[in-house]
Amino acid sequence: MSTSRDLPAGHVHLSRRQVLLSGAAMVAGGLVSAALPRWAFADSSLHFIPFMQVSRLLVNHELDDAVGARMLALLQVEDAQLGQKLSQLLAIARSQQATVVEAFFPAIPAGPVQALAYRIIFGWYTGSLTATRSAKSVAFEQALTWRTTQDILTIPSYGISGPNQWQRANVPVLPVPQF
Amino acid sequence: MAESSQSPVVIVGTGVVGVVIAEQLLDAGIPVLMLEAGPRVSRAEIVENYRNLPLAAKGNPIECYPSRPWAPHPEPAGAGKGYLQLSGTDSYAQSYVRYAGGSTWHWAGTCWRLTPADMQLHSRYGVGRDWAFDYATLEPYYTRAEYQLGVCGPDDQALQWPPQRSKPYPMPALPFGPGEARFTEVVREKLGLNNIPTAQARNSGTSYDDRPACCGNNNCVPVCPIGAKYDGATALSRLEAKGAVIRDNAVVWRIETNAQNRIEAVHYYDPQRQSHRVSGTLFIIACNGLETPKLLLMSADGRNPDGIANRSGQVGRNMMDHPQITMTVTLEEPYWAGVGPVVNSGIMETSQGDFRAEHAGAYFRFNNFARNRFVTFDALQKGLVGKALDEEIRRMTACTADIVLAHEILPDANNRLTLSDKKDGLGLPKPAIHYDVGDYVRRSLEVYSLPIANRIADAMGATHRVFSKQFNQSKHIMGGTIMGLDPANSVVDAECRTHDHPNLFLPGGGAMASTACGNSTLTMVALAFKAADAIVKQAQEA
Repeated sequence: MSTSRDLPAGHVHLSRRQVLLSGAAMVAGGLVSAALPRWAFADSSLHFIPFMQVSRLLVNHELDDAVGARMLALLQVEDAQLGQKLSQLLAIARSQQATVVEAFFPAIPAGPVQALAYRIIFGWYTGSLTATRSAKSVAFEQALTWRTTQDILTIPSYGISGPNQWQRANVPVLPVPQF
Repeated sequence: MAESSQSPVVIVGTGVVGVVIAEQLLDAGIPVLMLEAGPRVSRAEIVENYRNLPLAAKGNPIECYPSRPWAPHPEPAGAGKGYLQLSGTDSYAQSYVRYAGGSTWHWAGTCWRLTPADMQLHSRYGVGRDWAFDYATLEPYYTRAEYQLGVCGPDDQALQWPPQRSKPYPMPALPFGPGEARFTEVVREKLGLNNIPTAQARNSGTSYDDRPACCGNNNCVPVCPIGAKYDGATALSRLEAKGAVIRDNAVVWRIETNAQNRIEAVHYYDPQRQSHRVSGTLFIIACNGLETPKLLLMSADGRNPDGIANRSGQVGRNMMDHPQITMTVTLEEPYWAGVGPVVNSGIMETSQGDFRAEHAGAYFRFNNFARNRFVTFDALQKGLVGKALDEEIRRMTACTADIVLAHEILPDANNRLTLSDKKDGLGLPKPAIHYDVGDYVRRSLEVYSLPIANRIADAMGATHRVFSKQFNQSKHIMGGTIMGLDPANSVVDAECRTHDHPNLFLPGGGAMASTACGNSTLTMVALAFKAADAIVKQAQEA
């Protein structure tokens, strides 16, 4: 399947086939797909490429397209200006010739566009868009908070060792593992 | 009324107490029928529920056990919202599930025993109540409980709690993760306190009871994903293979007495509110410390106008728990809570002493939950991005910790469960609980546990510490059907048999006459074994 990284920058439309494949990947992923209406997948595809471009500028780690599609579907439902804000974020990043978040985030003016930027970062790190118990979950294993500690902590309910094999030396806070 | 059925022994509740008693009866050749208010679900379903929860909901163990409309349990939304009607100085907010297998689905697996002194508070310190028997009487049942559940613990007597034991633990203690190891080191070196391995119903280094070894998934609460931790649900299929009949989604709402004031039958609603009658010879109500007294009170009849087994007026009184305060510390050095099982050690020696004449003892626990879910939202709120955000999440995960101060509490008749005028989905009354932890506990916090906690924080190198603003419950429900030798001030005798009805048993936490500071489940199971011996004998004589 094509991913957002296979497409040239500025290519913002997915083909019908790509949309269907994205949807299939989400269903195969199993996570929360039932929580989203079917139309959300197709509609959010309009902004999928710019959303992932913005996401990769804001969060400089490996990002999963399927998680991005689920997050985008939620954002699209609640923000009619989403496409415009994504374009603004891309424009700011381009104006700063940024490839990492530190290079352009200070140039984002406080207000709705900055709020969206924080929201997208929040989504990638927590797997949901709000800190509430009723928030829709778009990721668990892929939530980046777990990646920051992946060298020492398991993701709860998974395991990184065998029976009684978790004794280890305490590791320093830094450096953060690459992910 | 729909169909009726019959069984020599009827057990209401399929939690750990019910299943342990059922197995003893089945092994003695006595048929049992078990009634469970809630559904029977697979482990995979609960694990999937957990993984699909948003991060903000993962801290509440009940979120992945949604109530069924006919069997609500306390939860923040859905059928169980507002189920407990709470009043009083302190909130008796409990977590338990009405599911086949019961609340051991989401327990931590901690299996502390009581000490000899814990069972003689009145005679030794002039407070509370003495138990109907002493530790030496209970010890063999503790041993049976440890072998039934598969409890691991240390071989070194100096690390055992308490050291008075007739047999070793069936499995060795689990190793400490780095946070527990560092915590143990600093409290020993700087304070002279012993942080000892928790005795816990979790398979250590080997399979046991047809369940696999613990692999440190750090998810004992809300559910062990691999069944390495004992829970009641792991026993259900085995009971059926031995002949048990288990009926789920069967909400018992009435206990029926006959002219001799013996129990004749129980009545249950199915989800369609059709009522069914189940008659029998012996009855065991094992629905946990809240649902059992509720059912007894709901079943009041002409012969028992204040409720079944309530001639003493003590049903629903003496509600107890382990009131706890959590101290969250920020540390200069990384401790890395979250490697291994979620509760793996504790300082128990602080629960004992002559001070108990004046105030409660306390037990201190380094919580070993991975900290990401506690700190990620706070790190994000700081407005950091990029590498600074990664580093802050990692620093806060490594360099923060929760230390729990768990207190004992005395039985107090004013801490009382009654029937609310509010009704649940089947039209049955919701439980109402009035609760105050009392001066015995508050005095402990003021003069004893809080000062110790501050010394622990200092020893750990805390740069910041925050304490919870109120006493929270440990979800260890005790006392509502209290045990004693005097029928005038207790509900059950030393075998958990009701004083009022010779064929009705109420084993479990409700019978406990004191709480001590450690988790109650192992004592509940020991009482279940003691009761089971009496029930088998009584059934064979019938």
